[in-house]
Amino acid sequence: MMESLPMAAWVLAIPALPAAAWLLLVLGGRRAAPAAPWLATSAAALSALAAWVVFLERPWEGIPGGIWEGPWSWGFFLSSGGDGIAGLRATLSLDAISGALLPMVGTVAFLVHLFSVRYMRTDPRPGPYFAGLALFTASMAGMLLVENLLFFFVFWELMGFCSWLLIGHDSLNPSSPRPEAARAARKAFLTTRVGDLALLLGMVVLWKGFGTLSFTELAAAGGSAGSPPWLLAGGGLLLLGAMGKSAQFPLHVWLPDAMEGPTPVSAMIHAATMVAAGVILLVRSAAFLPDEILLAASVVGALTAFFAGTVALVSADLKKVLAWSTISQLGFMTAAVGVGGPGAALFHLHTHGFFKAGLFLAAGSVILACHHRQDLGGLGGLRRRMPMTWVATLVCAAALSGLPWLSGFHSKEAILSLALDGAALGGLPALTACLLFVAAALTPVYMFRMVFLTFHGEARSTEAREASEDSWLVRLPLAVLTVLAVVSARFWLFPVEEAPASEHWAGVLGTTLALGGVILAGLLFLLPVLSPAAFARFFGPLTGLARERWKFDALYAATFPPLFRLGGRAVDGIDSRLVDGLAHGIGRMAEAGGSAFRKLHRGRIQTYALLTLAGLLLLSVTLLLQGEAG
Amino acid sequence: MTGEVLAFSLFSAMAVGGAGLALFHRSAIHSAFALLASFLGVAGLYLNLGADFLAVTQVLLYAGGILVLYLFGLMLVPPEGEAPRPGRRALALVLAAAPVAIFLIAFLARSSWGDPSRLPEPEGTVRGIGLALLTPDGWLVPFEYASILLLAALVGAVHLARRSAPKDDSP
Amino acid sequence: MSLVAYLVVAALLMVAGLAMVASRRSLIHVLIGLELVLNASALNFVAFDRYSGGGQEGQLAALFVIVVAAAEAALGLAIVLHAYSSKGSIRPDDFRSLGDS
Repeated sequence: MMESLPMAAWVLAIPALPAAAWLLLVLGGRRAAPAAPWLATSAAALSALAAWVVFLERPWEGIPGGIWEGPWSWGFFLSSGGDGIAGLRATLSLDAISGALLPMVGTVAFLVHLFSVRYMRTDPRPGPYFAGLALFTASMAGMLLVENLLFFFVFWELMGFCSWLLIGHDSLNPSSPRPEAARAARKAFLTTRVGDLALLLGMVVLWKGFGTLSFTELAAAGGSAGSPPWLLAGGGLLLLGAMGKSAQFPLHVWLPDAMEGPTPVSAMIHAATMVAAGVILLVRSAAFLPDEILLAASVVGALTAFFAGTVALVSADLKKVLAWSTISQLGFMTAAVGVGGPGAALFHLHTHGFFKAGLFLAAGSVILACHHRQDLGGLGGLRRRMPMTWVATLVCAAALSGLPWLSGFHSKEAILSLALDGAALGGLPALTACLLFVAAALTPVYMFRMVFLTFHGEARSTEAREASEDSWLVRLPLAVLTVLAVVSARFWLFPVEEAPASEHWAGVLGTTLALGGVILAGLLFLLPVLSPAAFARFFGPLTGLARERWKFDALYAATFPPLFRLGGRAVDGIDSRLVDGLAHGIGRMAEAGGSAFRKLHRGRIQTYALLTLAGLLLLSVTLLLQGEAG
Repeated sequence: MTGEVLAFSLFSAMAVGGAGLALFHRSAIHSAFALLASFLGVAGLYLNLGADFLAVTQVLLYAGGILVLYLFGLMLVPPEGEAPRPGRRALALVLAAAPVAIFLIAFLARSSWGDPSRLPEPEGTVRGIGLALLTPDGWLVPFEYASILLLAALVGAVHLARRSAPKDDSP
Repeated sequence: MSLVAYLVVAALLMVAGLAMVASRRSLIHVLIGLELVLNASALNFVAFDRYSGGGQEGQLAALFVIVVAAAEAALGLAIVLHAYSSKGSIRPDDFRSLGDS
């Protein structure tokens, strides 16, 4: 399936340009640092341009199988005839999924780069920062452009590495190092590692079972396989991997802490790259996952959506609210795959990418203006001082809440209608639908709580009183993302599953809940009609539970360290007794042999002559036994 | 018993007997003279093998040169006159005799080796050896190397022996 | 006479020389033993040369063995002299300062 080179060049440019920028910055080291912001940003801009060109050309359409393949491929080492086993072949391939998502990824990445130019202006280490950002962009694009789970995993891991680098960026600030950032980076890395390990094991199981890791071949083989135990295990492991990457309950703990990273990085992680990987993995493997795993995905997703929503309601930090809302929305996407709507999941990923990036960049704008003040108690009244940021936040929050005519409405409605459709089965699907609707009702409450507390009312700190809008580098990305948050549903091309029977009711119910949520938030936080404190008391212990993030962090802190200590002690015992014992034993053997042989080496040359004679004897005996003597 | 066998018996008895005497006699001077007998026996064996030039060289160099060197050495170093350590000598003899026994067995097992009936008539070898040693595509280069080796040994020996005499020479 | 007879003589010479090297308590005896070993090898060369028919390579090799033996004797005796003047002894067991104990 060869195409003309220009198209291949466009496709290759999407990951290759940021990767080249990364390479230049890494090789350039300190000398490249002054050029870093604009180098990485222009690479990201060209990459986004290439993504849009590819999107408009749609080279995958009209090709049987719907996958455009670049003229290059690389057979893996398990070669069978030069080309490698097809199941382990790296190709530059483009299908409807990657084609539909690449413009979002490219655009958001570019805008985040642009925003970072201003946001990181005073940062002492722009080189590593922009290098990490460029590699992040390249890895995400690369992940979308491979058709094989193995290489998908390579880029998946690269993204984990980049997020580790970027979340921990501030910890190496020479003037004011922040160890919290390092801790958060470590937590993110280790928590996602649990999922990554599961994914790796799942890949092994799938390879054993299907003999291929190509998504297309897996999908073709999975349909007829039924659900034997090994497929259940492999699918479960895959789901676990996706849960780790996409911060699904109970592996969600890293994402709120990842807020320690610079705010544009949060936008990158939450909107365009890192957490999207898990959803994309689920979507790509939905075709061969057994029904039981899909059901589990829907329950996990719905539970996450609900639980994260409750925590977002009580978070006291601007960025934390956004972080928990991301977890909640990722729950929607995971549940969407589970209820048979991978298209809807991708659709929501697409729209969510734009407005969540807008929200994070707006939060970054607030943080810039208020000199790194980001607790909701210290903000307020920014509406007049920062109208641009206010409008952006308002529109994006409305889109996230699923208010009509905005992009989020369409994607969320698709998910809700599918869930409602499945709810007729009763049991777990019904529970899923219930949880999703409750989560959908929570969304506007926490979003508009954030908006009202930040931008309305009185300014509650001097920083907030003196805030003002920043340069065009901040305002341009905000404006673009605001527009995209409204219209992004219009340029979605991947087919979204439809549930005609429930569509109407889901739309009505969703809109009602969204509007009701906005009104409730207004009553609580904008107009002094209802008292938030009384409201919190009304829910009693639930509020406390939500404030403590349902005690998951405490639970993990109480269980894992002792467990690891126990395991560590066991391993230490094995190491010091068995391994060290073996090593020392070998050492002692050599020592004993040495002192035995030393007795032969007393420097008496005549002893050596005797040994020579003994050697002669040995040699002649050997020759005689071989029948060659004489 | 042909003359050849007779000569072989005589010369090999000389060679082996001399060697045995050198091995067992406690006096160094006696050992040296036993060595002379052994050298002469080997020279006779060379004659038996048709290597006349080599036999003469053996007598001249070994019996005439090297042995005199040993005698000088013995005179310069006071004889300590001690016997070999009995245990050690027994061990050495056992260790040395065993391979010989094995070789003998192996030789006897292949007694047809080196059939004497097809031997060419011995002829003078001086001319052949001289030509071989002095033609460039023959042994000329090894010959020159040998002369360099001898020169180096000579200088080295003089140096070593000279340094030993005055004790206050360079450290 | 067969080749084997000469080889047996050479083997006996060799063994006597080696036994001297290994057992005698004077460096001069050790050197005498080495001369016997060299002689044995030279005898082997000549005998094989004779019985392999034609050519004089074996004799030439024996000639070189004699040269080496001469050099060895000169140097060996010089070393013995030197050793005696520095240690006052020519017993091999006294020269082991590189050894262990």
